Amino acid sequence: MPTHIGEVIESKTTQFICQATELHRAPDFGSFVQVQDEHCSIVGVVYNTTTVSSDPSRKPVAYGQTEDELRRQQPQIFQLLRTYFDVLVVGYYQNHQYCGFLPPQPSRIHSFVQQCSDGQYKEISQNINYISAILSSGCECTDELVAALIRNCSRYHDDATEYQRRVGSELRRLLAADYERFKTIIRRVRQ
Amino acid sequence: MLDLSRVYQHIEAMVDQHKTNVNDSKQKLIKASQTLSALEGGLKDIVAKVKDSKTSWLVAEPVEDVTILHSLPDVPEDYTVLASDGSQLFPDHHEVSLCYLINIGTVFLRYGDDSTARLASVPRLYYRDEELYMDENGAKRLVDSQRVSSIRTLAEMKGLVDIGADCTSAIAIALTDGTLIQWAAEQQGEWADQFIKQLITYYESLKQQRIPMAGYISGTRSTDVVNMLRVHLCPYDRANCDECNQRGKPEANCELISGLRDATLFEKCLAPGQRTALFKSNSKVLKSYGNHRVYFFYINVESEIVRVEVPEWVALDGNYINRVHSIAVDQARKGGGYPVSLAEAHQQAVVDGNDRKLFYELVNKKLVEGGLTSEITYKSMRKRSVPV
Repeated sequence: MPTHIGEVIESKTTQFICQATELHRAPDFGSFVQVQDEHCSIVGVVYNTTTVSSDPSRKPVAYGQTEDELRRQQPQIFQLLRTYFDVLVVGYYQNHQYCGFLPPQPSRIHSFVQQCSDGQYKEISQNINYISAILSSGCECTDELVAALIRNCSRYHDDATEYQRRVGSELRRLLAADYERFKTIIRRVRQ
Repeated sequence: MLDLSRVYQHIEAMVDQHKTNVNDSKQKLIKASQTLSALEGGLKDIVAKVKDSKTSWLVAEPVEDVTILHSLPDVPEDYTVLASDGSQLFPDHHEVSLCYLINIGTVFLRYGDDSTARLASVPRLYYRDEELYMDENGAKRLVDSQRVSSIRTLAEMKGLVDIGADCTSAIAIALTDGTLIQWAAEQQGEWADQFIKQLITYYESLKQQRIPMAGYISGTRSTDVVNMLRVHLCPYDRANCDECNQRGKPEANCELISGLRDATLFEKCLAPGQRTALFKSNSKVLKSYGNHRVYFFYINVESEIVRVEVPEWVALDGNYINRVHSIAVDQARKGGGYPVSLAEAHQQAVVDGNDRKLFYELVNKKLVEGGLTSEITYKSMRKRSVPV
């Protein structure tokens, strides 16, 4: 069984796009993933997932059947669909040390993508640079993404309240000029 | 560059011609339908007359009463369908290297509780002298499109046999796109024997694998059954076109329905899902098919009337022929009018203009890397970029 969940098919310094190993099996929105390269391991956060036809000239059509019925009667269509997920780069590991800023080189095309371990979640989220990286990224749903990540990461810290207080202070600093936005994010963290 | 304004008049004239043909066809269809109905219960006589006839056209030989219509058998819920299709890049003197490519698409679809889908394509490049040149009475000649197509047909059949080896389903069929009758093989000289022999070996393998195979012909233009009716309409006891003084004359009985297609004839009488009686093809090339001689019938697959060709071992087995019938209809339903398995096999096989361009770019790159010169012609270069 492959331990990787995807493969990089498009890459740049700040982001990369992956094809999920299995249909509909992309990592969760707001979860950390890593790409192991020759010299370092690039870490990013999943911010978007898409499932589309593998052939751009062939568009999926509605069959009016449940997925179970479709699997029985049109099994080929599941071979013709692909799930892709987009990742925003927030840092990298070098010499087993996590750096909360952009790596010197982007990930390589066709590198395998893996979920980050619980230990890595704790280590990566200890460095709260990821918040500013997301807020300044310009990618879709930045506020939702920050909130989801804070909720996820809080679980890996012994004192979740203290952790949330810390990231809350960082958010307040970054969004000093936009109190409404700060409140919107905080509301999503608390729910 | 096409000047559409100049071709416009030709299009108008062509449409007028079609209108005349449509009116003509209506009359022919009425006559043909009456002739078909009149053959009810007369199987022995028509078979005898067909066997005794000597015509310049292909005549179907009925195996059962020609007016019989078979209802759609129950469609199995759990079944497997195998399909293959191929496409090719023909050898081109004007390209960087003389070679040809055949790409075979195969599809394995299993329906029901253990549903599975396996779609694949396998390309093969032909570049050796013995593959590029055919021997014609001691003279070497570059393979023509017919030879490449025949090699492709063999590769398609091999693809079916290969995926058939993995088939564990009790109910399976194998579909190919187009006719099983390799009528063009006759023009391949001595090689034709070798080709048919190999083809038959693949048919035999499918027979051993207990996977009935069928050729699915969409948009069929065949006239074998109508020709059988023409033989029936022939006023002579023995139809012999060579000795007929009416030959080619519009008033001749056999001309009353000539040009009508079998599909048009059966369009009126076949209800959705039904199939016609079984017929034996009398194509000359089938003499070398042994016990894989080709039979055929027509089915109303709801979207069109299709011709389905099967080898003798399928045709004469009631279970097999019902299976081919029901699965062909179900496949067409699943595929929105055309078997989903064949459509996917085509998608796997197709080599489009862009693929061709990329392929030759890759060949060119490897030639240069290998220290060789690419042999692109001036004609080819001019086609790519024509200065004003």
